[in-house]
Amino acid sequence: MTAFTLYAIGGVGLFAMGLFSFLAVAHLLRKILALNVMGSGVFMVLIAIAHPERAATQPANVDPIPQALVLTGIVVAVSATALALALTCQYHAETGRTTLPEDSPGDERSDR
Amino acid sequence: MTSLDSWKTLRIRPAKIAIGCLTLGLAALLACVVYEIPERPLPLATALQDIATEERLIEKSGVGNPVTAVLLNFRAYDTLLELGVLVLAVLAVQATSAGVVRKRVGSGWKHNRLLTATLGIVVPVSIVVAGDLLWMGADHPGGAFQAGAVLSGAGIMLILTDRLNRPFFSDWRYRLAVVVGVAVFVIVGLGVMAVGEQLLQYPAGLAKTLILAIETAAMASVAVVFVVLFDAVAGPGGLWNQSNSLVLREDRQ
Repeated sequence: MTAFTLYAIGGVGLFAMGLFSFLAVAHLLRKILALNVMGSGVFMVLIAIAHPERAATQPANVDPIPQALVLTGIVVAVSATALALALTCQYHAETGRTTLPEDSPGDERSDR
Repeated sequence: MTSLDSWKTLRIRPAKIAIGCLTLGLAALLACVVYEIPERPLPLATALQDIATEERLIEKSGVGNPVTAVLLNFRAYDTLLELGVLVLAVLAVQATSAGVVRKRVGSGWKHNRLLTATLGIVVPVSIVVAGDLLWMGADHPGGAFQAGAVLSGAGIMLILTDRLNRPFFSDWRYRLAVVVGVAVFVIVGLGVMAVGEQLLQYPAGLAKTLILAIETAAMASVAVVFVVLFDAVAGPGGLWNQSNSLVLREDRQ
């Protein structure tokens, strides 16, 4: 168990926790938070892949490409979160609801 | 909302157990895959890195920080599109909040003397730190996005204390700042074709100047985009305050 595998498996754990919340919780704000936790998990795996232990010729160097991808990803995630929050606010203002409606109109039970 | 209510939202249901089992299975599978990633790079990756070292690609890229070289030179296309995504996000949030009459309410913190004194220190320091991050980003960790994030932090503090309270979407200066990053990037990317280079391939010797120009514009765009997005959603009179009953509470149906 090296630092690389520890970080990467930690990232997988974050991703799984976010995925569970995203699927199991109905409230839209919680879903947005869960999506962000999932994203953080992906970023953590990518950063782990860039870890110096895996670098080729010079062990002190990190792999810059995953790091650049994460930097891009963070900025895009922030703006996507802002858009999701804006849509959620407007959805709530229009309908007064904080969850999406069920697929089948006959099923009134909020089971999530 | 009491703590009892929030506890009830965690109530165990068969569907949740099924989702939990599936998620755990997926996590185990992913953990196995990640564990199988070789700790040492594959021979092909090592060979490619040897070529990159031999060709002195970093020296030719115009900047010494490999992450900046990847972002602004080797994979400049990604960064160009990312700045486009920021413009799209602002447009989408603006379209979402169209028709919302903003009450220019204040947060009531404008005349707090402690906050005034703190802002007098934090905002100038943020500007200096952003400039430092932008300049140092050429050879050390840092760059346009970090600098833009620091600047936007200062801007958000000014919004929350009623010192920056204006209709961002209809102010042409803010519109210009939102697009300046992608605009400068496109102009440079196409401009190098006029002197016989490929799209986004900087001429030798000019690389550092062009990268710094793009990074400065990108920093301004990132900072203003984050400020505008924050203000539209969570600023005083923003969408969030229009629907203040939107709390972390499940629907009662």
